[in-house]
Amino acid sequence: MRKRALVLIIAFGLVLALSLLNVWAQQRGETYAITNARIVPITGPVIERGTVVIRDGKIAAVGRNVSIPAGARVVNAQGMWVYPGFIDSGTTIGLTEIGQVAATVDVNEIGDFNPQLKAIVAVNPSSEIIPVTRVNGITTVLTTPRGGILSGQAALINLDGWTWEEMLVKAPVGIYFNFPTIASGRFFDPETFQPRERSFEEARRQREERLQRVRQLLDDARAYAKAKRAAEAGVPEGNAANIRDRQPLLVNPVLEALVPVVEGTLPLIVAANNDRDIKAAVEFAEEQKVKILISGGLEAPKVVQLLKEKNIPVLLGPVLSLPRSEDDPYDSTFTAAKQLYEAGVKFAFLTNDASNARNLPYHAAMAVAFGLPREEALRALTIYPAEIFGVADRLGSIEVGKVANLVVWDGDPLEIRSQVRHLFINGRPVPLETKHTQLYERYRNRP
Amino acid sequence: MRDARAFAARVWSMVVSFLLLGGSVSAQAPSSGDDVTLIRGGTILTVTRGRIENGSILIRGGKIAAVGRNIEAPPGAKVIDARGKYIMPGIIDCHSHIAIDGGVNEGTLSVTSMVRIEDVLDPTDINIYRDLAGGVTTANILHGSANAIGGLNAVIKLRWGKTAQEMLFEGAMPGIKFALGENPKRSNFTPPPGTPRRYPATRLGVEYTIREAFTQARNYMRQWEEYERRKRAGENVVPPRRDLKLEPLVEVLQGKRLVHAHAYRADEILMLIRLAEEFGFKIATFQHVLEGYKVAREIAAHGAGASTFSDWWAYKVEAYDAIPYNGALMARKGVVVSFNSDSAELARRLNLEAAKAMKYGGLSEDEALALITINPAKQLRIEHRVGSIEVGKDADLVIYSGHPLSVYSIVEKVFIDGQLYFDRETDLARRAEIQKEKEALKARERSAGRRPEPRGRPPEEAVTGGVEHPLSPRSGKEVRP
Amino acid sequence: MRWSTYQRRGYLLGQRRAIGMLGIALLLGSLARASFSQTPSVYAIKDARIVTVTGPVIPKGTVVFRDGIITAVGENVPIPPEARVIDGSGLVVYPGLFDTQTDLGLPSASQVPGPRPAAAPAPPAQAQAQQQPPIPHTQPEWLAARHLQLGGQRFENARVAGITTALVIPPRGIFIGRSALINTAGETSQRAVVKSPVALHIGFTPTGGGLGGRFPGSLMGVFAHIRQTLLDAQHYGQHWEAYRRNPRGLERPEYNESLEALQPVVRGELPVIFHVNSESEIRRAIRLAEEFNLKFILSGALEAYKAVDVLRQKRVPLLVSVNFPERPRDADPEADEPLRVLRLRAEAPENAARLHQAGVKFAFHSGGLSNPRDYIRNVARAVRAGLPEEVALRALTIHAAEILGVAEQLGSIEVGKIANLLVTDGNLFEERTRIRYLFIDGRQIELRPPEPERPSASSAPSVSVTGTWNLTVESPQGVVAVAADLQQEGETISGTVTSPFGQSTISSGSVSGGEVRFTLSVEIQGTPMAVTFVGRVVGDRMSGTVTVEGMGSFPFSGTRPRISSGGQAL
Repeated sequence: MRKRALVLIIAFGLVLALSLLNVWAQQRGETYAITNARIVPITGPVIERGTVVIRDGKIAAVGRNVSIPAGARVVNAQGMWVYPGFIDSGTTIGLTEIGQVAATVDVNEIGDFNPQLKAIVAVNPSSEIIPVTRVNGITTVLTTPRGGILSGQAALINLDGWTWEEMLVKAPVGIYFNFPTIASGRFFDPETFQPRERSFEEARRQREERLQRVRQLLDDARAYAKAKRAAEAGVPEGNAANIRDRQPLLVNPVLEALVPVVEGTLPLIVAANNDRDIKAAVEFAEEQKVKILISGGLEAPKVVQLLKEKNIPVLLGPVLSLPRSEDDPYDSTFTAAKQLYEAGVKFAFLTNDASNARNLPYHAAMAVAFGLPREEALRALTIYPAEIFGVADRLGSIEVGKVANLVVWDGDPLEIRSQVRHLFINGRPVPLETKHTQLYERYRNRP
Repeated sequence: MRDARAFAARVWSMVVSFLLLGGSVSAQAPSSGDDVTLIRGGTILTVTRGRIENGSILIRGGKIAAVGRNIEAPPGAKVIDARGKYIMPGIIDCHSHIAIDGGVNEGTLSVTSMVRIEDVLDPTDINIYRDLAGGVTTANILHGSANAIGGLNAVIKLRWGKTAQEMLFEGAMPGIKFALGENPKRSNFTPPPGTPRRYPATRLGVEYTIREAFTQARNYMRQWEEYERRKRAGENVVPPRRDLKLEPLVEVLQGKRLVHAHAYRADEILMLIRLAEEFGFKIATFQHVLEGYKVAREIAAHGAGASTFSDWWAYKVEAYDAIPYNGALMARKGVVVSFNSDSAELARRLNLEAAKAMKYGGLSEDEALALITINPAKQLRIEHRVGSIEVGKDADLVIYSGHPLSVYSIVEKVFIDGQLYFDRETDLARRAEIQKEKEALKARERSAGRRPEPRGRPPEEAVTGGVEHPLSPRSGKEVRP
Repeated sequence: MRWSTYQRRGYLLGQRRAIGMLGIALLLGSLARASFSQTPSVYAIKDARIVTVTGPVIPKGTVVFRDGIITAVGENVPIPPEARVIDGSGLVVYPGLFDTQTDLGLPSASQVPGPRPAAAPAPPAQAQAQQQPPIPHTQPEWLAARHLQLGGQRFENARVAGITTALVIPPRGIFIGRSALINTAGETSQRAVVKSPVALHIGFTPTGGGLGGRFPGSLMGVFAHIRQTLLDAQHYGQHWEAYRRNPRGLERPEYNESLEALQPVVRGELPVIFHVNSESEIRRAIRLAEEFNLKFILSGALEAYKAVDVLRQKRVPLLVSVNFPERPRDADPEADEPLRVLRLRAEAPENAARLHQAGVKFAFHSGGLSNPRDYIRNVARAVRAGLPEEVALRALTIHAAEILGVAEQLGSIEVGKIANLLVTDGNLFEERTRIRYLFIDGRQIELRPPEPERPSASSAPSVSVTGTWNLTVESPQGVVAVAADLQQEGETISGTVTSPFGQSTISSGSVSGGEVRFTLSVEIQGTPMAVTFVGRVVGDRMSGTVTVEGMGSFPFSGTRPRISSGGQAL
C-alpha cells in the first residue's frame, strides 16, 4: 500500500517535472539539432548525412555542413530519414471522437447553409485521435465540417498544442461545399422509412433547386459586399443630400462569411466525386466567378483536361476505396493520382477520416504501386497541399525559415513497416506515446 | 421495309453474338482438369516452410505437386516465368460479406440460425473479382451482426465466373455467426417508427438470448432422443417437428458446426467462452475481438481463434479501446490470430494489413503472412487444403510483383486450384474491349429507340393482335342472333 | 347481348345485395346458361389455312366445332347444315394463345395477397415474451379461382391480343397461392375456369421488413421460411396420417389450412411454380425443389439461357416471360449502366432461341406487360432473334397446355379439344397481321378496338388538366408549337387545340389516372387527319406521344404556366 503510494508520488513528480521542463523549453525557445540524417527536403535534393537545426519553432539551418549551435539538444538520426510532416487534406480530426456517439461528434450542423460555422472553434485538443495520427508522421490536417450544402469553414491545424489556438495554422482555408448531386434511382426515404424511386427528372430538378439556392446566397453576399464597401468608404464629399438614404450596414454573419468567397480570395472546397458533378462544379465556379478546390475527385481522371485548363486543384481520395461503378477497372481509385499527375493537375491526398487518418501515407503508397512516381506522392503529402492551402511559406518542406514540423523515420515513410522515431511539431519534440501505446504496455504486462 | 428491319435485327444479333463471344473468350472461367503448370524462378513464401529463393512450383490437377529449386517442366506443361516475382499462398479472408443477395442480415429476430448464406450467394458480385485481384482466394462469407445468433456461413473460393454452387469450398466445415455487444442490442440503430423494440437491449440480454437458444436446442435433442426411444419400444409415436432454427445449434453442441462470434469487449468475450464451456462446445473464432488483447490468455486457454482488424478503432464505444497491437499481442499469448477485412475494399489489400502487425507489435514476416493465410485456414479448419505452399495442398497461389508485405508490390496473377483466375495483363487488355462492347450495346439501343419500337407505338398503330376495324365493332358486333 | 348480361349482373349485385348471395348466384347461373344456350352452337370455318400445331398445316381446309368442342378438322370435311359458316379464304386459323402467367382477373396487388396468419405452428417459447407476428405472404390455401373478377378492359385487351387462355396468379409474395387456368371469355368463374388449382406459386420476394419489420426481412430469410414451412407441411401430413391410422395414445394434430393446402405439394402431386428470373434465382429454385422432391416449373426465367446446362439435364419445364428488360424511360441519361445490364437487355430476346437450341421445353407468358398486344410483338422479337416460328407458336399453345397439364383439352386444333380459335389474315408474327375472328369455348367473341389500359386501382381522374398548355411536338420536320386549351369535367376533356394548321375542337377526350387522351381532326393540305394525343400529366407538365393518322407518332411535351391570383402567368 505504501509502496504503491510512493510510486504514485514519484510518477506524479516526474510528470510535473516533465511538463515544467516542457513549458520552460517552450518559453525559452529550445534549440535542437537532428544530425547524421538522410534529409528529404522535398523541394530540394536529398541531403545525405545532413543536419537540421531547429530554433524558436522554425527550421534555422539545413544542410550537410551545418554547425550545431552550442546548447542545442542533439538528436542523432544515424541511419534514419527526416521528412517534413505530412499533411492530410481532408479530415474531421478534432471534431469527432467516437463515430457512433453523437455527443462526441461535431461534424454535421442542422441546416443546409452554414458558411459562418468555424471548424477551428470546436477542435478538441485532447482528442485521443490526435496523438494516434501524428505518431505516424502526419503533423498537419485540414479539418472540416461536413453537414448540409455549405457546411462551414475548414481549418488547417497542426496536431499538437495545448489549445486550438496553438494548433491553428490557418483558418478559414475554404468553405466546405457538398456539391448537390443528381441522385436518381432507388433511395431510402428516411421520412417514411421506405425505399422509394426518384426519377432522373426529379433528381435533376432537385439538384438544380439546391444549386439555385447557393447562387441566391452568393448573389446576396455580393450585394452585401458592395453595401459593406460603400459603408466602409463613408459618404463621399458633396453628396450630403444622399446622406439620409444611406443605411448603416447591418451585419449578417452568414453573408459576411461568403464575402471572401465572392471576392475570390477564399475557395469553396467542393466535395464531388463523379465526373458530372465535377464538371458542373467547374461550370458553377466559372459562372459565379468563385475559386474552388475539388475534394474527393475519385472520378476526376475523366475530366482532367477541364481541371488542367481551369487550373483547379484536387484534394484526392480516399485512394483506398472501391471503384465507383461496376465496370470501372478494379484499380481505378488506385490509378487516379497517376492520371492527374500525367495530365498536370495539381493534387494532394486526403483520407476523409479521423481515427484512421494515420494511414494517409498508405493511400499515397497505393497510388505509387499503381504508377504514380514516388516523389510526386511525397509532394502530394507535403508541399502541394501547403501550396493549395496557401501556407507554402510555412509548411510542406524542409527549408530554412519554415515551421519545424519534422518527422524522423527509420525507413521509407510510405512503407508500413517503417516507424517514426522522433517527431517535432512547431519545433517542439512530441512524445510518441498514445492511448494505443499506453494500453499496449499495460496489457502486454498483464500477468 | 419490315423485311429490312428483320434483316437489320438479325445482323445486329450476329454482331452482338460475336462481341459477346469475343468477350466471353477472354472472360471465360478456367476449366479444371489435369493441366500441368510450372511456375518457375520466383521467390516462394511458403509461410509454413520458410522462403525459397529462385524456386519453382509444379501444379498438377489443381494441386501443388512439387515445390523446390530444381523442378523440370514436364512435357506439355504450361510454364509461367516468375523471375523477380514473389509467390505466396492465396489470401484467406475470415470475415467477408461479399457475394450476398438480398440482405446481409436477417435482422428481424434475435435468433436467425435458420437462414443460410449458401442459399443466397451471388456469383456475379463484382466484389468477388475485385477481392480476387487483391490476392484473396478463399473467403468466409458471414451473416451480419444484427442478432445474437445469426445465420449459417458459407466458405467460398473466389472462382470468378463459376456458379454459386461451384464457388463453395468443398468439404469446409459449416459454421454459424454469433454477435455480441452493441449490434445485437441495437445501441446504434434507430428502428423504423412504429416498430416495437427488439429484445435484447443489454449485454445481459444478449447472454440470455444465447443461453435460451441453447437450452431450447438441448431440449430439442432430448425430444428426438425420447422419440427414438419410444419408437424402438414399439410405441405409436410421431417424430417431433423439425426445427431449422435449432438444428444448427444442436450441431454446435455436437461439435459439428463452428461458431464465429462477433465480439468487441473483453467482458463479452469472456462471457461467451464461459457460456460455451458450460454448454460443452468451443468457439471457433472470435471475430473483430478488438479487446481480445485484454483477455488473450483466456481466449488461448479456451482454444478459440481470433479474427481481427489490424487497426480499426473509435468508430463506436466498444471499439474505443481497440489498439493496432491487438493482433500481435494475442499472437504472442498463444492465440491463433488472423486479420480479416469485413469489407470488400479492405479485402483488396490484406497483405498490407498483415504488414501492420510487424509495425505494431513486431511480428516476423512469416508471422505476419500467417495472419492472412495459414492462420485463417486453421480457424476455418481447412488448413489441410489451403493456407501455405506445401505439396498436396490446393494450388491457390498469388504472384506479386515484389514482396507482398511492401506497399509497392501489386498482384499480377492469382491461381485457384491451379487455374488462373486473375491475370493483370488480361485485365488491362480487356478494359478497352469492355468499353467497346458497352458502346456497341448502347448504340444499338439508341438506334432501336429511334426506330418506332413496338412498345413506343400508340395503340392505333396496333400491329399483330390488332383489330380489323371494318369487322368490329361497327359491323362485327356480336355475330349472333 | 353477352356484355349486357354481364352488366346486368353487376347491376343486380349492386341493387339487390339484400336478397342473399346464394339466390343471386343461382339466378345468374341460369341466366348465363340461358344466354349461352341461345348462341349458335355450330360453326364451320371453311377454305382457311389451318395451323393445327400438333399436325401438319392444312393449306385449305375446314374446322367445325359444336357446343364449344372441335368436331372436325380437315381438307374435306362435311359442313353440318345448321352451322354458321365463315369463309376463311385468305385467312389463317390458329389455336387460341396462352398467357402462362398473368394477374388478369385478380384483384389489384394492394388487396391480394394480404397478411395472413403464419403457416407454421406456434414456435417454441421465445427468449422474449413477445409473440411471433403473423407471417405475411404465406397463404398456400389461397385459390385464384375464388377471387376471379371477370370482364373489363383488361380482358378485352387480352382477347384482342389473341390470348384465349391464361394462368392467373398474383406476381409477388412467398407462398403466393394456387393459380387457376381460365379461358378469357367466361362471364362467370364457373365457366371461365379450365383448371384449378394448377400449381402452388412460390416467389422469393422478402416482405421488406429489413432490420425493423417482420420475418423474413431478407432473401435468405425467405429461403429459411419456405424450407421450414415445407418441413412443417411434411410433418403435418405425417402426424395426421399416423393419427388417422391409429389415434390411440397420439396427440391430436391441430388443423391448419395452410399446411393442409401444401399436402399435395409435398407429396409431389401438385406442381410448384417458382417465380424466378436471374440465373442465380433459377439455380436456387432448382436446388430447393430437389431438396424437397417437388414437382416444379419455373416461371419468368429471363436468364434461363445462362442455365441451360442444368435446365436441360433436369428437364425443367419453363414458363418464359417476354417482358424483356428495357432501359427505364426516366433513367439518368449519363448513368454508367453496367455491361451486365446492357448485355441482359440485348440478350433477353434471344433467351427462347437459345433454350430451344439446347432442347429445353418452354411456354411463353407476358410477364406482366402492361399492354397485352406487346405479348405477341415481343414473341415476334424472339423469333427475329432466332427462334423458329413454329416453336414460338408451340410455346404459345401446345407446350403451354402440356406444361400446365391440359394438353387433352387445349393447345392445338384437334377433334375433341376446346374450340379456342384465332382467325387472322396472315402470319401471326407479322406486324401487319390482324385478328379477324376469335372463338373461345366455341363462341365468337366481339373484338372491340383496343383501348389503352387504365390503372386498375381507380378510374377516378387524379389530376386536373384544365388550363392552357404550351406543347411542343417533335416531328421529323422540326419542332411544332401547339397550344391546347383543355377543360376537364370528371373524366371527360373538351377544348380546342391551336397549331400552325389552325384551330380545331377536340372531338373526344378523357383522363384517367395521370393519363390524358384527346383526339381532334386537323386539315393538312386539304385532307382531314385524326390527331390523337396520349400523355401523362404530372403537376404542370405533360408529355407523351401524338399520333397523326397515316403519318406516324411523335413525342410531345410541354407545360401549363401556372396562373397566379392576379391572372398573370408567372
